[in-house]
Amino acid sequence: MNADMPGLVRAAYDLGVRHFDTAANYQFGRNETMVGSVIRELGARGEVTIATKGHTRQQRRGLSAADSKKKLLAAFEGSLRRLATDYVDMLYIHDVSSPEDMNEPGAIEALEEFRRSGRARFVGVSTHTNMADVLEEAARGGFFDVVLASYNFTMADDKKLEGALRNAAAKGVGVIGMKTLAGGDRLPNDDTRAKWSRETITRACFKWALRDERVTTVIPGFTTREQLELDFSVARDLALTADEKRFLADKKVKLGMGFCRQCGACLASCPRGADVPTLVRTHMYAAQYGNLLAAREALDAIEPGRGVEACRSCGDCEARCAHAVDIPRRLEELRMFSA
Amino acid sequence: MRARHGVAAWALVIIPALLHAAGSAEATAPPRRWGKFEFGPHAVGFRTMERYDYSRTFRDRHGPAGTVRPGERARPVLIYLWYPAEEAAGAPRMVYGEYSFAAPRDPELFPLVSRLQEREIYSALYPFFQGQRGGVVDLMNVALAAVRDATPLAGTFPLVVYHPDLRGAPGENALLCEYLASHGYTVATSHSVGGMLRDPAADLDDLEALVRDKEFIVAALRDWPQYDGDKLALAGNGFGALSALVLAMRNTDVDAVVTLGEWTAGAGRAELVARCRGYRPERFSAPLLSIVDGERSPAVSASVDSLVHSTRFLATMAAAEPRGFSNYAALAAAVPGRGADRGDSSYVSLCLTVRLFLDGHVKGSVEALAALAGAVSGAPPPGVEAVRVAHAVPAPLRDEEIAAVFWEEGVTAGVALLRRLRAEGAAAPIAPAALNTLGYQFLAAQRLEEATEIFKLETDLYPGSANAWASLGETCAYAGRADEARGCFKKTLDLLSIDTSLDDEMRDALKSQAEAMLKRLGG
Repeated sequence: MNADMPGLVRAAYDLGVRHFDTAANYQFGRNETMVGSVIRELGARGEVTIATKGHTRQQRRGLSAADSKKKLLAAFEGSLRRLATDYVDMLYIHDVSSPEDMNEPGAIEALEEFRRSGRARFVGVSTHTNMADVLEEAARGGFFDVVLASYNFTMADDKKLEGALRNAAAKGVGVIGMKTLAGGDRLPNDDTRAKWSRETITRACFKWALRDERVTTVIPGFTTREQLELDFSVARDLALTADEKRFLADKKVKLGMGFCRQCGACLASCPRGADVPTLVRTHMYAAQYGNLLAAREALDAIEPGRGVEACRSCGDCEARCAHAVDIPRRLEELRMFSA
Repeated sequence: MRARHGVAAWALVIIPALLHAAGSAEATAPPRRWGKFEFGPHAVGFRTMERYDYSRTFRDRHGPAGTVRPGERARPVLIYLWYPAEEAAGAPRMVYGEYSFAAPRDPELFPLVSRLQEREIYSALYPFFQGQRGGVVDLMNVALAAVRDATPLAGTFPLVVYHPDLRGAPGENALLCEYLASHGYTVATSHSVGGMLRDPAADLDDLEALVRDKEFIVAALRDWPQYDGDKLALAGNGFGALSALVLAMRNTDVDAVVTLGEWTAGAGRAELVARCRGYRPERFSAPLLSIVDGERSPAVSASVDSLVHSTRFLATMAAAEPRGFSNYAALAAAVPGRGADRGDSSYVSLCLTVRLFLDGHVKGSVEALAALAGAVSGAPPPGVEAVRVAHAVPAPLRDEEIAAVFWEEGVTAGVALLRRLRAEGAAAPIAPAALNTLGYQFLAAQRLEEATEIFKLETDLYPGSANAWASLGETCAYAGRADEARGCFKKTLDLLSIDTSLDDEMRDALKSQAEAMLKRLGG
């Protein structure tokens, strides 16, 4: 949830939600405080699992492994303090995009220290980019217990991701899905919205992910009780209705969703080195989630010189994109937002 | 009606008694401490209220493609409300982040509110902490005094409407708002949002939007169970002070106004506010407290000086941060290693000074008034350098106020009032046209004698007015006093050539009327 609404967290618990995902940088730590205070107020710490995340990307720049570890440990301890708990169930390194990110020594040592001391039951990474490589590395390395990965029905034909999921599952790596709605329910395509109801789209998307036995659960964000109830309604019955099947089978829908899989194919096409996948994801936060603060934070995390200012609207990235993401338009909108 | 005081020059007034008064006022109740703060006797509740001002649209009816936009198009106002509350034992106190991230229930508002949250963090908090994210995180988790959604205390309390700075946030002075609520005020505010844009500019349209938002809050809170319709105060910070002043000029129910910081700073702001609809300094008579940074006080001082019909207090103190008077420095002082005593002491003094001013001028607290009046000698509270005061010059009665005396208290009282004002030196205690119109209104109401009295008064006050004599001639003729009427119309003709207030059309009309009446009256 990206809003400060303790009542909604309580409502989620009452409805039956038992896994709560947060992060140190969500609302500058306020989100952790809110989740922690509600769980404590409910006396439900033993009944729920709590996941949180700590960022290393900016910390790692120019830092030694020892300094990186020190900063990350301080960040994790801050999370425990805000969550008002002695331990978290899952502790992620936030937003990694490559095996190199995952295996940074300082981060590994910090996670291991938390896991060994019982302050984190399971450790893992979250990823929006190069999910297949990250999952493969988690399966190969044996260190990580869980991967929080962007995963939705627009990726159904991604053979590489499919193989990585299979390997991760075989090695006992837990997979939790995010971005399951492929960019929220504010779809960019009017035709899709006109053809399919919001309920059908939402339920079909969640069922598609949750019917996959390799996926433990998903973490949809919500800001209203209606969204919460709609999202959670699938928990009682994962069987697809005829409408939902038709939606998932509609080939135009996948293109119409315009969901960026963060495959990174566009990166090589940009002559100025813009971080196109992150910029497109930032656009999703701003335009589809309506979460402009998250968008601003994502923009800030981009390396200097690789932000929207690097784009000259040449369109090479769009030509390279195999998934018909209208990248130039989104970057143009993002330029207006960030001005 | 508010008491109007005599003329007084600026005087240097130190306010040593303020802290003592606060201490004694709180002595009867156990102090509620927050750092160096001692809150008042009441627990504090906080809630948000989502309202729409249906008199204004915020989103165009049609989108870029020409289709009708779904959802609410009226202007949203997310009201932040602090109020005296019942004790909620064991209830968690709010942290600052809850003010920053207060979320709307209407999902359509989420993008707007998210943008405003982003504005506070990147425009105010990051600069305050020199770009250190950790400082922002710590600030978000500073616990304050309010309890979210606590049960409102029974009773009514004065309303204070707070106007944030131009791109300020509702929480920029949350500590002050909590503090006032603990002392028995309901305090309301909202984000600063431009007319059709998200970020307001320092222009006329957006100033109007900000004023109207706060007017809307005053109206919306009439349904609040603690609403006291007789006691209303405004407070504004920086640009918000301008909107508070304009609102006070429009709404004579405002009992007191507090301004924080450099509201006159910025190119063209004085001209801007002067062009705002309803800007009438001559109608500003509410007592005013302006708290300014000592080094920058001359500009504000000059502006405050011009509001001569208000009793004005100008308090100078060092602003805790370059952005002026907000609670960020005081909050940072609560975080170990972040803001060590950068602003909590002076902020305590700021809150105290504001509260005493409001207690005195809104609640009529004798103790608070005594503290302010007795502050001529002694030492100021820590952080406050000095307070100057200038008493109000009585505002001239407006024509409509004088007319009301004629209708409500009688013509004899009205005539006596105007004669007294003339004797006191007012050359034109009422506009001749207004007095003349009043006479005809009485005449139309079949109150001939009273109308005659009014026209007689008009000829006494303005003996060179040809129109006044013609009007008196008319009533005398109606009353059958032909001699008197003839005298009046002859006087009218005599004055036509020398009455410079007449235009040609009026002069011709009066000439025709007087000649016709003299012909009819004969003699």
